[in-house]
Amino acid sequence: MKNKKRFLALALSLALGASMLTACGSSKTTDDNTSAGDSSTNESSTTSKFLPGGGSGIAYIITPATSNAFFATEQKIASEKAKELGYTVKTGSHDDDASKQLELVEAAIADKADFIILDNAGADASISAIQKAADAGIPCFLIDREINQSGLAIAQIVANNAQGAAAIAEKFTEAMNYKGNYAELLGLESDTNCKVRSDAFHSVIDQYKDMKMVSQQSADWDQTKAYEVTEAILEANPDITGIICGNDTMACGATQACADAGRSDMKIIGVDGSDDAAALIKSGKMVGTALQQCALIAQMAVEQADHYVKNNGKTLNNVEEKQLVDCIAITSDNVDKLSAFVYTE
Amino acid sequence: MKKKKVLALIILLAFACSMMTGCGIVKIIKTGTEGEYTGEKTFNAGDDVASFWDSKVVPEITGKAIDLAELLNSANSDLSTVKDKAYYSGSSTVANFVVKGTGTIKEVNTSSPAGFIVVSLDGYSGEASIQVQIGSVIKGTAVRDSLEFLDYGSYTNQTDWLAVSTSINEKVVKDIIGDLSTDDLVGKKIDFTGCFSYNSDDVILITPIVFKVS
Repeated sequence: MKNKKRFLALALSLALGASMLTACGSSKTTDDNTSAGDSSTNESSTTSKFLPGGGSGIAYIITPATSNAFFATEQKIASEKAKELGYTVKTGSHDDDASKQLELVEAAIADKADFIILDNAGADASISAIQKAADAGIPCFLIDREINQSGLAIAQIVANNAQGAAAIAEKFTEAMNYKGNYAELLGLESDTNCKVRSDAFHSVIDQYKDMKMVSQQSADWDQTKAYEVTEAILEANPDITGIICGNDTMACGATQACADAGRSDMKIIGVDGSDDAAALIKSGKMVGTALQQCALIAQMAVEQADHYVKNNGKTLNNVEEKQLVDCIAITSDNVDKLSAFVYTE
Repeated sequence: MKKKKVLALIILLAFACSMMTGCGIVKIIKTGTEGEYTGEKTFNAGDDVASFWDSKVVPEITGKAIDLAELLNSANSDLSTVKDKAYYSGSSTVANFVVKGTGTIKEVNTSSPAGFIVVSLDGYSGEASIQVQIGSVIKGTAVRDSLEFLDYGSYTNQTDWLAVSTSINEKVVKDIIGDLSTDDLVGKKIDFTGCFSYNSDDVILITPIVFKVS
């Protein structure tokens, strides 16, 4: 009787212990400090599936309107690289219209394109078009702009806007001798890059207690609006000695407004690396800009696409999907190396 | 006999309870990561850096630092020739070096908040100006970009990635530099370990992880 009881107790306690052990194993612990990203949470199964392309030897390059020099450079460099690698190139502009973008993607599918290089028409609006290409076995390589989904495109190669804005903000603080009042022109406040760049500017400048932002207004990335806003700011705050701008187009407008108001001493920075900004930096009217290396990005995308389709879906040098390319701070020291968004050492 | 039944019941209940707690109804969630489950994620770079500073940053940097004087001498005024000893962040083409050295402080520059000392480096007689940042503002992202365990892909976006570097630099000012009195530093010995981004062969601007004045 006693033995039986003991045996029962032992068996039960063993069962209890075992149940606790298995339970510990199956409960999820999250002690990995570096897994703060969301990239793992929304990955779809398409990542692992090889998209071989249509085999026609045609490469599609789809960008926003090429009337903008930035996108024209992208298209030109990607086309050149693809031709060099032996592809027949077809280009198209979606003009930031998602339905137009879908038509272009459908044309690529009909043409049995080997791959699509895409500067897309919206982080959410583009997902269905890219999904359609993937369903047809055609891989998309995204440049310049990200989409809000991982695991769908093979690569998303974008400029590191935060790093670029922070780098040129450092040059701005030096030019301002680490003190004084300044104003900020923001881009379209609905755009992700507007906040990314502004936050990065301030992550640097706000560390200097003697620098004070006295006015912050949106000029919608637009040159004419930037001119008008700057005029008004100068009237209300004649004591400012610097203006930080979310892009070069606004910086050009601000520079013109300052020149017309007799304030050519103003320290002005932008972001992008346009030839217009380069000219103003050369003539001393702007302190600097952050070059987004769109030419390099376009070239990388084509090289990665070519490697991917020719190697059963292996990515070049095992690069990850999300890739950042650092900007280069451009000042009077190195502006001579910049032309048409290409920086030549 | 009754006793036995009660005992069995108690054990059965205990067993059932253990199954319930064990079966994933209770999840162990690390403080600060609740948002991954609720969807309301707020990233705090300061907390993130504090969580790996002692355990990962300091050991990695001090562990892989190479002698700065030897590096400069072997580079012969052109650090691009020794880029095989450099580290790169995922996004960057800028080379970052992790170095250590000793020397004598020959100048203290606090003319701007981005203060630094100029060091006469033991074992080096070249032209480069060896500078160690002392804050209160630390420039650049050299430390973050030298660390191999950190990866942009693990962060949500560019802003968080930048915030990590800003927090690392704040940690350097607070914990490594601390309450440094700059009045009588010139002429004193300095023992440092740190990182610099290669932007020029003329100025080596080091962000320190070890900073000992004697």
